[in-house]
Amino acid sequence: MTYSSLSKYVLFFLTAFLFCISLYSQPLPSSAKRTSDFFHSNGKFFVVVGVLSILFLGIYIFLFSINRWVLKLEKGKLGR
Amino acid sequence: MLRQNWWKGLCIVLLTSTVITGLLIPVPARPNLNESIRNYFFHPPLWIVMMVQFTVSVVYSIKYLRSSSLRHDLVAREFAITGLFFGLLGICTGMFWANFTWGAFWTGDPKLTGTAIGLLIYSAYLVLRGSLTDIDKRARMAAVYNIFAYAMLFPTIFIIPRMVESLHPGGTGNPVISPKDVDPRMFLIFWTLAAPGWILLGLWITSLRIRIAKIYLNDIQ
Repeated sequence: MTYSSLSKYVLFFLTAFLFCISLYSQPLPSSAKRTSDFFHSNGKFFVVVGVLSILFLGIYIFLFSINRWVLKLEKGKLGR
Repeated sequence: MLRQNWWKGLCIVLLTSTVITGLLIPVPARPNLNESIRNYFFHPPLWIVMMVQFTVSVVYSIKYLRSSSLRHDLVAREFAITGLFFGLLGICTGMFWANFTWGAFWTGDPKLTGTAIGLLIYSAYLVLRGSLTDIDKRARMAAVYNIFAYAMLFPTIFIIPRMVESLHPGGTGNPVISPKDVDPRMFLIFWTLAAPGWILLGLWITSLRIRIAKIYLNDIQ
């Protein structure tokens, strides 16, 4: 699998993920909970989930930037 | 040693067990924090990684000033970049956590102000590098600046925040380093699994960046 087709897969999954967000933006029945209520529920356990998501998303972005750097190198471009 | 695989495997084992135990172990019930106390295994290690990276970076800056070898300059730069990245991650995760425990993404807490200043100083290190075109002059000025930047970290993130009241736990002490401020089991997991795991991940990323940067350097020379 080449890097460009890999990035297509990643883009596909990111877009699919973005579409999932629209599910959450639908108005909730009855109790009309806000997002903050979700994070305050379950003893604020979802705050940990959120922190881990931010952390790993950041690491993935950083890894992809390094990946792009290697790609440039493989194509033989000089300089930064 | 850096090209060997055992420590990368160790990094994966440590981080995986950090995430699993961090999410599963029973934690002490604290008001306001509740379950979000588990972030102790994920947010504070980022700052430890940042300090490790900046420390190695300044060591290589000093090495550069003694040797004038561009390879030392390159290592210093890559460690500073990764350190800055982990600092930014620390700020982002901290802001998210703060929003649900302190009620706002950003507060006037001295530790937040201090780290923001510290990260800005290190961003200026990269700006300084980008603004100079002569390779040797850039390396020399960046190395000198890096030493000052590292020295500034101590008042901004270690001394001043501990002289005043802070929203962070531990008050004037440091809950990460002092065992009496934190649950002993969490303290043990922090120092045996979380901190070494995240430090190794930082080293892994930086070692990859250094290897790429060295190929670039060989192409230029």
